[in-house]
Amino acid sequence: MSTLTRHESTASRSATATARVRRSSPLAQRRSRTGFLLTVPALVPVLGIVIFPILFAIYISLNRWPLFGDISFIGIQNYLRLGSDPVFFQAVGFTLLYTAIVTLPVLVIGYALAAFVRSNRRGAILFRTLFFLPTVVGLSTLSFLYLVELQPGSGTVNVVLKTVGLTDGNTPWFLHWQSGLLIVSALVVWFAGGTTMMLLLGGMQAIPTELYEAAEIDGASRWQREMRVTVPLVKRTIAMSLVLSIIGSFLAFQQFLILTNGGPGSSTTTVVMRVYQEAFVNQQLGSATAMGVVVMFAIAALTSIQLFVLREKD
Amino acid sequence: MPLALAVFRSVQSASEVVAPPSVKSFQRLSLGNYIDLFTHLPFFTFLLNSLLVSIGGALGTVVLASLAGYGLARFTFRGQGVVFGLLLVALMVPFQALLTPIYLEFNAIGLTDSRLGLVLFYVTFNLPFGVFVMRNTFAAIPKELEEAAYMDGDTILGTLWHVMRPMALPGMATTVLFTFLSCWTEFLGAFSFLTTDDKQTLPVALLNIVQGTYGQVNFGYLIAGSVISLIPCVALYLALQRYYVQGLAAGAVKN
Repeated sequence: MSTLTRHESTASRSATATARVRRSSPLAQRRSRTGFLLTVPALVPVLGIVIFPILFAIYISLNRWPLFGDISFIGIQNYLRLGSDPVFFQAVGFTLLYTAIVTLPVLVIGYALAAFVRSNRRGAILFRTLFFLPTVVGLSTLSFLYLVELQPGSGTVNVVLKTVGLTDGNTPWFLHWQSGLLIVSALVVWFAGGTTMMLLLGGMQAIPTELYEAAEIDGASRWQREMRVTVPLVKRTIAMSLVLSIIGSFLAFQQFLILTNGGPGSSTTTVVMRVYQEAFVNQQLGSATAMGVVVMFAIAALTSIQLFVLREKD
Repeated sequence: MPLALAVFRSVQSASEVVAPPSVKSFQRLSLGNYIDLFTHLPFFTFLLNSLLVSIGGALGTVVLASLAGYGLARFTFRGQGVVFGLLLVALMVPFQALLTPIYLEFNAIGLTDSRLGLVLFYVTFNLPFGVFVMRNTFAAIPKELEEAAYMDGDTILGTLWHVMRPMALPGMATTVLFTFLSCWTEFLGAFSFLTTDDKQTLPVALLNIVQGTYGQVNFGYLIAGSVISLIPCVALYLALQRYYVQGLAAGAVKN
């Protein structure tokens, strides 16, 4: 597989070249062309719907580009204006706050669940399936179910809170941004906790049991075994799920659209919601695309970290 | 638990869904919400749309990903690094950031408000993951059988179909399952690209129920619709759990 890596050494490259020349039979040549041709059907949509739009996005963002009407080149003004767009600023701040709130609970709960369902006993496998169901069902459907159960007076959440005497059962959760944020965060921790659990589980199951037995003989407590054996060995998986969870939070959209609709006012509007509004409600594609480009670079930076972390494994 | 509660809710009448729970609500359960959903709303159309784009997305992805995965796993060619790099870029870029250029591009070639356009969009953004899964699948299959087929004069595509396909089925199942579910639950793309009501997929149609597009907000409809949309997810997951977990391990968790 070494010929596939992009950073192949000069030595191995010249070795491959020699090999290629030596058995440069017509079949070998034909096969090498075939290899490229096989990837063409996949390359066409990638070039057309990913690579071209990236370049096009940069061009759009340098223009005043209303959905209907005249387009005019304005240089980097869209970007300069972003700096003084209070709603965009608020959306960035809110999204970062939301990301900060959910990231640690998602990781801790995901880790705890993974540790809980790690063994291969029957019950553990059942729980594994159950904890992972929210991820499978998807965030939009979960948000709709939550919406029904949060209704003042009738939703289960309110009824339960009333029964234990904490509230009068009529809490309108989405009237204030703080409680709206709290509710969405709780939903997402439930959703993403299962995802993180499954990712961590993969790493944990690769740890040989002998290590635990050795640690136990050395008199390590359960907690010590977890911290000294498991955590160091799944460090990379932890880092990976952390980055994935941060990216997911940063791109939050439907959970807020469905539950809070960005309100009250624009107080729970996320960055992606703001991009959508600017593009399709305000119909200003130029400035919307400038926001998109900023998001793209932020995510690319995060993903590079992820790839860097994963690369070490090889 | 909440999922079971949802199923219970869905057989309550619309007024009971929004009334405090009581013993009485256990006595009058019915399938009324489901029947109304299909008779009062074009829910069957929404269901069909979701099935169409999800199946289209999954099949398109698995075919293109298998070809490319085979090409990358078994052949050495000039520009392989570039192909790999392009796929990595596609994996890294969030489609959320490219909504506007893709919208304008689709608009220019008549693919906005089109289920075909949405399928193309889904195939593209599921491809990188699919190609990596398929490449690993093919790389793990021993070469002997394949070479025997060549010697017998079978073509490359013929070999791929006759010899490799049966052995690559687990990887293909992972790709299909994962892509199907990611299309089925996808929200923002459908929300942005489709405008006509009768082309909508389930998640967006459910949002329209919430936002009162069909008259007064009916939580009975909402919950029944949600239950319908979660059935395929749960059923596929329970039946094909092994492949799902493999796909997840291949690293494609983007919401």
